[in-house]
Amino acid sequence: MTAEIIVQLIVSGLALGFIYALVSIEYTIIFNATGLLNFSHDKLIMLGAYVFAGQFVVRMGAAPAVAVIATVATMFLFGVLVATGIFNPLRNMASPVFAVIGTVILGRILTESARVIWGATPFTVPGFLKGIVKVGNIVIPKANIAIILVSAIIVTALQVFFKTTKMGKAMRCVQQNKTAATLMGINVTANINLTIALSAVICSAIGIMVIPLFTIDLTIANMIGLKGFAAGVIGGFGYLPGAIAGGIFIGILENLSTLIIPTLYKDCVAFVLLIVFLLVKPSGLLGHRR
Amino acid sequence: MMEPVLKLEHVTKRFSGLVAVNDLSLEMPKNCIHSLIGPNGSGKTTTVNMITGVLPVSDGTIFYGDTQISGKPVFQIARLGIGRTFQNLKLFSSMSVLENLMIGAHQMTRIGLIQFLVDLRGEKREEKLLIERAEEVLEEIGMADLRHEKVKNLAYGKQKMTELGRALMMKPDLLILDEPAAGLNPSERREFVDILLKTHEKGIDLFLIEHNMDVVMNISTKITVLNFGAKIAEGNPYEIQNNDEVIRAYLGDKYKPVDLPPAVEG
Amino acid sequence: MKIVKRVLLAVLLAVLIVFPMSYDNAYVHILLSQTLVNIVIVMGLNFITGLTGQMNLGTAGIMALGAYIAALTSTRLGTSPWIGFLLAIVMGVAIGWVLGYPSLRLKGVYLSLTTIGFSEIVRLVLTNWVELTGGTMGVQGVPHINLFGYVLDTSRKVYYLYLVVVILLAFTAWRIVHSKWGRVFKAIRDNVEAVEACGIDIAKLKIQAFTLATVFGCLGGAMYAYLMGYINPTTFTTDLSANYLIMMMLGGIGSVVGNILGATMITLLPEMLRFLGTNYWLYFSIIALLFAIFLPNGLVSLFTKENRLGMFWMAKKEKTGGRR
Repeated sequence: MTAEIIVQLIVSGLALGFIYALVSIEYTIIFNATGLLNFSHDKLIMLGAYVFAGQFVVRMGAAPAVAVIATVATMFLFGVLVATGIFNPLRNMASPVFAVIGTVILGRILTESARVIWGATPFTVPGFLKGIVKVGNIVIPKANIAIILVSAIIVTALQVFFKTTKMGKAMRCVQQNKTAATLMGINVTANINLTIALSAVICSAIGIMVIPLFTIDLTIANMIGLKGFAAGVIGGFGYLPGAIAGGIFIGILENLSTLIIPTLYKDCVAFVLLIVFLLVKPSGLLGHRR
Repeated sequence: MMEPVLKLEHVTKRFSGLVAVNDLSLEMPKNCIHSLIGPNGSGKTTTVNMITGVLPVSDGTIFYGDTQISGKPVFQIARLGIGRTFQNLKLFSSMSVLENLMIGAHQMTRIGLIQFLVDLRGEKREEKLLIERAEEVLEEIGMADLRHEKVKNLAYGKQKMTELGRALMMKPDLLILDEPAAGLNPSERREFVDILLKTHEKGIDLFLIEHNMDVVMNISTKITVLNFGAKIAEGNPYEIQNNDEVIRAYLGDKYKPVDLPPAVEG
Repeated sequence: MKIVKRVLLAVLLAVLIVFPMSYDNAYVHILLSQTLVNIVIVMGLNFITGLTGQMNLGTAGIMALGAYIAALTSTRLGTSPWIGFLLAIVMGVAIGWVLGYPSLRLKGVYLSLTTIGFSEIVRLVLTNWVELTGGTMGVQGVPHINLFGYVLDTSRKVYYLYLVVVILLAFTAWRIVHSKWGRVFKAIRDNVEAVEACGIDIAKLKIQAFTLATVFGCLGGAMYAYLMGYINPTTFTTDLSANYLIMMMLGGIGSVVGNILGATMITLLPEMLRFLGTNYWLYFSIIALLFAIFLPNGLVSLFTKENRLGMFWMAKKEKTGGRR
């Protein structure tokens, strides 16, 4: 019986863990490319959810598959726009404090825009990824399966992209040394725009996948955004495999924690781990220090 | 011979596999201008960073007078009276020259935060003393007219001078200079060296890393040559210029003894 | 010049005293008092983030602890609000140590994430420890401040008390910024290694800067609790911390006058933009972003000696011509 409960907790923790992993990937690639921590990333996830659910599904009545493609395309364009208009100017600011505040304000603008465009009332998408699959006595919601599958695909695709394609390699150059990359004829600005667009696409994927788990409102992604930060640090900051490991670690551990501490304090686990890791092992689980 | 000012005993620094400084022992006598020279990557800056506590030693001990300083934090070593400048300028760029200098003597001020909050006058008196001290130093380094200029707006030579001034503010007994002449044009270099010599006459010992051999050979009383983290020669400028190994590893033909008259006695 | 400044200050003070008297609207009084509270918190944040350059995104957590210790002792133990203020200061000193210690080992991004973590833990504990804090219901019925037997039962009366408090605190903050502490804090922001090489104990100074920030923050929290009479954990989110950062930056990093301008502007401007209809927060955020990009040194940079109003264009020209 207990074993079953544990397996059940692990399986549902795994799905959220993958979400945290994606969140930390999404901000890590921006951090690596620009040196900026994107404090508006949770709002980008929220925007992804709203564009998909609010705009394409509810308003325009599109089929989910069509809506997914449309959302991804919209968010890609939006990413390029934000990168050109906001991230590139901020990157050149004298003090990182300014850049942090810039992204914070961007988040505020995104929230307010969503409030103006789609209203502040929480809503859901009925029937989207609903239902469960039973394996023995273990109940797995379809949404969790979708999350695990899609995340695995995204993670693999990113690895392939960064390791094999010319563009991905150029992005890695930009991450390591911008001056040298410029001298080698890589367009750093364009590259950063693309990285941010890519991040926006991942954000929209996260936004779509969490719809079955939460109701859609303006703060839908606040908690996963913050826990994504924790995941990145716990895995090893600025290091993609670390981001994945950290995300899954938190997802499973916080679910298992309900066995020993009151469920109410489940959300604290990620932050306590964050602080413990920062003080005791800042290089993270995988021991990678930038 | 007198008690050495600075003594390194079998000091080694390893960076995961790479040995940057290998079993270096060195003594710096009193009233001395001691230069550390050697090719790039020979471990000069690493040595200075170990002396000043920025990097921990992997092995060995460093003494300043009778006090063991290896293992102490940077600020405590500085408080013993060791001032330093950096290879790449480390200034407070958003502040004026005067303010930069005042930071140099900050640790000599005594008033605590609580006392300051209650006592409206005390800190002003201290500030006045700080400013007076800074004016003196500004006079010494010939930058009195630039005191209110923002450091980031100054020419490189003046920035270097500000850094020297900041180090002088704390009234050091030993001044460690990492490449003081690098990046200066000949007239700036002359000015800088003059100020260094004046400082030395006031009783401050100088320990410097330098690549410019004109400077090194003219002002040093003792020279230590490093190569691949180990000491290959030591002596007065004349001995160093005649040392075959040093010529091979570093100096090249230019400083062959035939070209030069014997240098100042050490 | 000095006389002009003094006259201006006197006029400002007169307006601050007379305006709430002539304008009888409780909402406006609360808003003005809220501005005063925000000024205190931003002045605190300025020490650690503005001057020392240590990114603190945990202001909400600091403020929450100050507000809760004041509100809880006053409601549960029935002690005087003055004890509440005192405890808030003690709490501030304690958090200063707790948060200051990690800041000795962590830099930049890591520190900002630690402070976020701290703030979230505080919020979650306040939300979930229902027996002590009342959970999401918050703490209700925080008593009024009693000033030598005179009960400050309207927000206008509270406003006048807070005005005096803020003037004192602003004077203190101004003195610190313009003392050796302000200078050495800025030096830490500019170049830590050089500060150490000058024989200065950075650990002590960073903890002092953090403690100043947390004491101001907790005091602001307590002021907030006694002003509102009701507090609730949903107020103290990371978004609130971000708001204080925005206030600090818009006013001008490192300057007390800037802090006051920024806090005032961010608290009052949205209300002034209400004529724009329901979207006023959106317009306001966009204005803030434009400020962040084009006027990163804040409103005060418009008035500094070297820059005057031309600074805005100069900075742009430099950028197109120069490196980076």
